[in-house]
Amino acid sequence: MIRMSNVSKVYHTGSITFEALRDVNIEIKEREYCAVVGPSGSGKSTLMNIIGCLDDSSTGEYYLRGQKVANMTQNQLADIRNKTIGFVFQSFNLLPYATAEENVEVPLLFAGQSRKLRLERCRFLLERVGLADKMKNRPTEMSGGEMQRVAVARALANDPPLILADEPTGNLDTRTGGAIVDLFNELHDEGRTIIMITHDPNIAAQLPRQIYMQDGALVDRLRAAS
Amino acid sequence: MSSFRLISIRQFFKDISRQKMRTLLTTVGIFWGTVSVVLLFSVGKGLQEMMVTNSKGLGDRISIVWPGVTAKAWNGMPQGRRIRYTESDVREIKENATETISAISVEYRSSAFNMKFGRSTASASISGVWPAFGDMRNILPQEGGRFLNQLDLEKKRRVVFLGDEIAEKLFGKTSEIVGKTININKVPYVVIGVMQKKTQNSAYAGRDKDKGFIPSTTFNSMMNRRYPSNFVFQAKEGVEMASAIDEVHRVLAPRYGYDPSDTKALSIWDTTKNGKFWVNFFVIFRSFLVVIGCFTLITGGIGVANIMHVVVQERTKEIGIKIALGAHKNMILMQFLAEGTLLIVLGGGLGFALSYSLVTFLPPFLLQTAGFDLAEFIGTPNIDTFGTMLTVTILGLTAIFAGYFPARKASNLQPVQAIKLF
Repeated sequence: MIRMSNVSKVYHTGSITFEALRDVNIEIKEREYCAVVGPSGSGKSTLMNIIGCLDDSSTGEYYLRGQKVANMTQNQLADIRNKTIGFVFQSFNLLPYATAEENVEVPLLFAGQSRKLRLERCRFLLERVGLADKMKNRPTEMSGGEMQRVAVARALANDPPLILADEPTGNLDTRTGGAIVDLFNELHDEGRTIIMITHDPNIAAQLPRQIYMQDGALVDRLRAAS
Repeated sequence: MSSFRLISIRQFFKDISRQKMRTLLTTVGIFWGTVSVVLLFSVGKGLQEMMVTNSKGLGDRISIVWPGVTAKAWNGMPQGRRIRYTESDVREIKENATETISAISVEYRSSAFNMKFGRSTASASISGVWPAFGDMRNILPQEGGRFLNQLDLEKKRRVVFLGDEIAEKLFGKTSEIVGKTININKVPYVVIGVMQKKTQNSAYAGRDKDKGFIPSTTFNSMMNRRYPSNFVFQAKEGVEMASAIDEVHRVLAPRYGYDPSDTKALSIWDTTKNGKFWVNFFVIFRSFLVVIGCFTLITGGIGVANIMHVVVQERTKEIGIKIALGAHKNMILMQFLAEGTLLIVLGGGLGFALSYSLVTFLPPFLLQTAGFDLAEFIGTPNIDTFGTMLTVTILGLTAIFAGYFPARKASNLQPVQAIKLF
């Protein structure tokens, strides 16, 4: 699914250069279920941005499903984000003025689906995440757990094989968070590849694979914070 | 793409409802700009058309010549001599000045003739003229009648052509009176035609509508005048009036012994000078309108650019989310472009609607309710094609500029710059 060789990302801010990723080599196979763990500033977000085709790498090569991402046009990248990858963010990132249904509809609109199919798909997905009765509600009228479930439904809109999640339980209490984790487990059981940033050691320990990051590099295990 | 259009229009109405006041003000700006520009141009056009029509009321490319007094000494004769001409002098001009003059007529005139038909009487001024007078001075007959002709002149016929007002006074109507006989100073005359109604903004010795016209020969047999009051001539099309006037002097100067370059020897009113004034006036007037119009609309356009800029700023996060979820660059571009354009189409459309209805319905409405005719003062406002095209062009350009630059900024956002996603 994902193969990176010697990927680095350098940010230049004025005269200061900052190396957010250094020489990352990683391979993630289809149907893998990985936790990305590391202290803040360790490069987790940069890694996810590059995997998600939201940002490009400074050096190195990144292949997504065998295709070299650096060679793709803006529109091809947009289509990959639309159909191949589902995003779930820590702060949900729903459109505030749109209803749950309309939020789930957005990726379907960009995919050019017919209205009939869009409505069917929205209803199916929102029922699946247990929000059948909240389809016409706006994010402001929902709890954090509900918003995150809308976000998961939106991530699944075009049935992507890869899900990227950033602390999906970070803003939620333990019980609500547990329900979201169960949802991700289901998605994995369906055969999707899932990469999830998490700070929660318990959740990380449950997942089949852990990827540890420190100072922009992959490490075997984390050094104890001193 | 149809699904995309849906979201864009829906988005537009959401933006409107979220930013009611700003959208309203911007739309009003564009609306008002459009109304003022279209109305300015319409009134300007009405005014111009009125001036052109009315100046034609006196005649096309004509000069009127009265006797004058010499201002230069010539061949031993002093200045200050009165120069008058006879009908045969005018005939001489007609025969000699064929290069520059297309029509010419003497005019004998006397006022206070007593006209009588049945029990109605009226006092009017009468001109004795040649047949060419009518066309030259735009004195045109209503249907069923005619102006004087050569035979009337040669046979000294007692026929009269009436102005429409004087006909109305005598007969109470202007139609079906051709062939009737009226008495002028107790002499019977047959009415051969009535003048078509015309507007005339300049005149000498009264408006044509209040006058009667008879053959110069008939006039002279009655009044026995030696000198005509004046004569009127028309310059050939494409000929400068000045050279036609020179030609008149070339014929008359040797006969009366004055310096051909003496402009005071004859008193001449070149009516084409009025026309030239108005042409220049309206060139300046219109340029003025164009400048005002441009600035008004550009002000509105800046409003739209401003609102779009703010919209893009406020929605950076949303744009970032949409790009992350797979929106193509041109979808974002089109969304914002469409929003800016819709604002302008809305404001401009309402503006055009209001100005067109004002121009169409206001003048008749004023005439009916307030009882005054706008046309008498400023002409009839008329939608001006040039003004409309200009407005549409400026609005279009404004829409593109006001919408495009913020939209391009929005579509060029990188998702990682727009919003911290991970």
